[in-house]
Amino acid sequence: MSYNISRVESGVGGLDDMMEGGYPFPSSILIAGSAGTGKTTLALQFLTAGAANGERGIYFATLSEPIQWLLRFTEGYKFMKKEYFGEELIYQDMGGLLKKKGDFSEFMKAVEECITEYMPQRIVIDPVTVLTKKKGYREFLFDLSLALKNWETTTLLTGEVQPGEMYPVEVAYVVDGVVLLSSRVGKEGSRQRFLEILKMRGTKHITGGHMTSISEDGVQVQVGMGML
Amino acid sequence: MARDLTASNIIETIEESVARTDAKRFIVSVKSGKIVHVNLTILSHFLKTRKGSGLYISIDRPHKYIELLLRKKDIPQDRLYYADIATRRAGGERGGYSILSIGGFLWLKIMTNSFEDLYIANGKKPEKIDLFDMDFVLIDNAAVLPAFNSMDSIREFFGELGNLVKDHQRMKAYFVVPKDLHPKMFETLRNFVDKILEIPDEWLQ
Repeated sequence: MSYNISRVESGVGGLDDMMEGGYPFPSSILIAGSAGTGKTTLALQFLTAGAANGERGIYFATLSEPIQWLLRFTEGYKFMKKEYFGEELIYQDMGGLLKKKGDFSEFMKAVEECITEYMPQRIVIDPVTVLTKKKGYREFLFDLSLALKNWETTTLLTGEVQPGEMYPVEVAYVVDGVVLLSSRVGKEGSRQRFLEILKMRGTKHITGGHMTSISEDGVQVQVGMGML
Repeated sequence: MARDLTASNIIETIEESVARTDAKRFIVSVKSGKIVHVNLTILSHFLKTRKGSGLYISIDRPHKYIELLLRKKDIPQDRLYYADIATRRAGGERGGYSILSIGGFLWLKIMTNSFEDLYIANGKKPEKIDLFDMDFVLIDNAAVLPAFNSMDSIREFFGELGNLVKDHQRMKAYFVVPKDLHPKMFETLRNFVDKILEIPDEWLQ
């Protein structure tokens, strides 16, 4: 290959080994999964891994959750450090904007304003699937994905998986990578979690669903263990 | 702040190198992922300190991004022209962007003072450009050219740009490229510049 693709660490134990050292930079990646599979945790690990290296990241919250709630629920994680916020990590509540009627132009403008202000290397939009009911969703996703790469960022878009679907198809279509988080009840009756890389452009990635655990270190992948 | 130190280091490196030599064509070698940051730093500095005009050739991403960043920093852009090779309005209200193949035509137009492909800020077309009043040409990012051009046409492009710079006494060209993105392309470009300015990775954290 003539082009060398830069990589950024995911911050998730085991995951970088599955994809040549990290997410491609720049790129947009969908983290898809149903409730409780670790989407937000994995996204925060990504931001804090950058923050630990002095990289700036922005967390766009689309659900209007105040920052104190996010901090309260995540304070048990070793990788979360409150001192990152305001410096390496910027928290942006976009919920108010999204409640307004109309298209996505105001949202896009606010995202770009924020990016020009802070010039981040890493971005999380959590969750992006909350936007589906607005008009022009597919065009918006395409524009967003392209714009985020032009700004030189790697962006994780989290997406809720609805009953009966494997992943949010409209988002998966426009992004460079798809990481699927899932769970199922095992033989012993306990719920087991899995991570699978469905797509990662420009990357030789390990396929199949690999067992994950969520502890005070966040999501960890046990590569090769309990494969789906 | 580390960010201010970064900017002053980059500017110092460029100004010292430019002052010490008759070189007119430079590679500014940076680490991947920091092109926008370095372009913004250099452009802001040149627009504040140079008396003449400048040309920003946007190959890797639409020029609107750097235009927006400069506006955000309150940097006047009235002496900056954009040749936006990465952007083409796809038509319709929504627009959209796609890559245009770059051939000799753009350079022919520049050299014959026919500027249909040039813009100034806010998408306006310039009425007249005096190339003898132009101090700099900044190119973002020549390393992506092989994705949609043959190496022969790329060499021709570099050659024509070199001639343009040589023919205008004040003009200097700066190719801001990541050294590791496309090693073969980087080696090709080396043959068309007079000097390489290295921006150390540790300045760009």
